[in-house]
Amino acid sequence: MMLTFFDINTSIGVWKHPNYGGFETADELEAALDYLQVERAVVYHAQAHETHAPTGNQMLMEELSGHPRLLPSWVIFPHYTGEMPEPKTLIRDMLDQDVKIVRLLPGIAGHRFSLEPWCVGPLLETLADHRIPTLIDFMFFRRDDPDWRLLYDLSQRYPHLPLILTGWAGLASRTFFALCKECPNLYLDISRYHLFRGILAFCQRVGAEQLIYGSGMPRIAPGVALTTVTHSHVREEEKHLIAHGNLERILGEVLQ
Amino acid sequence: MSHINNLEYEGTPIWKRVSQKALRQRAWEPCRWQEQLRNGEPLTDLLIIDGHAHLGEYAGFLIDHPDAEGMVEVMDWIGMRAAILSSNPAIKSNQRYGNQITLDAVRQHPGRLFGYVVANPYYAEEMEEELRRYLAEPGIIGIKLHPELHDDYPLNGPRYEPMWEIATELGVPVLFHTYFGGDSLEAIVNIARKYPMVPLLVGHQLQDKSMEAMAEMANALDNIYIDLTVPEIYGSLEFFVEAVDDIGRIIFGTDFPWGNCHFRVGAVIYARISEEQKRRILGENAARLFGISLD
Repeated sequence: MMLTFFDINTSIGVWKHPNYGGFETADELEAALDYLQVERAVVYHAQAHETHAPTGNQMLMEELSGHPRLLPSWVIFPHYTGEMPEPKTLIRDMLDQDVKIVRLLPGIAGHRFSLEPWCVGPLLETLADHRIPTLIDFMFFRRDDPDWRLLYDLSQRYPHLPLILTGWAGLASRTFFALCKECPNLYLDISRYHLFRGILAFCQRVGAEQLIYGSGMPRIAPGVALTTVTHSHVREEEKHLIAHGNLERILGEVLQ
Repeated sequence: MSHINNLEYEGTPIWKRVSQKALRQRAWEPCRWQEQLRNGEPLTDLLIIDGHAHLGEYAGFLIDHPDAEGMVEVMDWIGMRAAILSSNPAIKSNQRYGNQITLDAVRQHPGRLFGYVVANPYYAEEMEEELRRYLAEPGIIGIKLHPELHDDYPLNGPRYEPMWEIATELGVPVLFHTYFGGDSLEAIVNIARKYPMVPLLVGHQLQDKSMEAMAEMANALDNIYIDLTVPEIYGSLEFFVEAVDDIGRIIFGTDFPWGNCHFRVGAVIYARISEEQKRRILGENAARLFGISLD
């Protein structure tokens, strides 16, 4: 049976530095998904990343109107500066517009906020109350690693919040495998997970339940993450979990 | 005008030659091999040669089963016919031990695994003997340099002189790593001019410097080849196919087992270029450059 794919990591919009032939619109993204035979995709907006999150989120909602296979993902950050509504208001507004997944860009290369509890705590607490899948994009360079202790602390503090690490290449498996075994609510978007036999090693030593297919398009070429899954040499049921099952499960657990 | 100070580039500027808009509008036309990839099958009717591979464990991170058998097994998953490799110990630590591992692997899997002998500039005294001995072995068909792991020792430094002389004498391709520091674009051009009989594989398609400069270099200098080891950069395949006069200069590589090889094959198969271009880039170009016959 052909694998169904549900992509957790795509974007639309105009990036400062475009890749050759990179798409910008929802129509173009859908054409790429058709080409790859991918069923659905979670999408964020380049302007929510590079310009200003509320502006980009609004552009995203306008662009995705009439594209039911594309699920909006808002880029958000803490409310203290008045740029974002307070967490309860923000999340209520999101859910009312059927937005069930968010993306955080902490750190100096992103939106410059701390993931420490005294800063992002109220936001994560509200996200956890609704079990809203939360992508964390540290904007890694190729060989970077996240702050492991922080990820551990967040996972333990909010055990019902699905935290999805995105954009990480997977070199520090000696730490990551241990972390994932301790933190079942921590997931990895595999868009840049290129470790040799990496999917197989992860499934054998941790489990397929914590890996989620993401393409990273249009920053990463089509077919890259897809082939990572199709040729991972894991069991078919594990491929199904990674390709679509895990993402469907955590989205299905979102509480209104 | 060129991106490179010492290169007189006469052609149409690359940015005018490769239209962002035209590439964006290019049709998404499935090719014959996508169905096999989609089903997790090996590509059995396509010659795939990996021109940039490694072998063996690495201190800094997990590489699961990276011995010769493990490598060939993974090649079979995707249908890769051959890989040209330098062992990780040879580039990272003890090149005597590492080059021997490479040779052992090549002997164990003739016709599947080929080797680069690594020249370590810090062992210049033994370099000539070592290179001649290994390059006399069947299946050792190139030289690998890794400036990043050799403290950015420059390609044009005097410790590499024996290597360049032997490469010229034997006409063997030299593959060198480029990113995270390394030599300037100007230095690479100077090397290409100084040793015109040596095919130079510019590692990782100059991803950290400039793909446009990479294309200019390949168009202006007859012995420059593009080591296409980062095809996962969106549009890079489409870019090089448009930007380079001769796509015979594009040599596919995956760098495995530093990562998987599958996803980089996937990047080529799903690129919006013709089947003929995919065929040439994935294997035929390397077969021609390295004189590999797999019939």
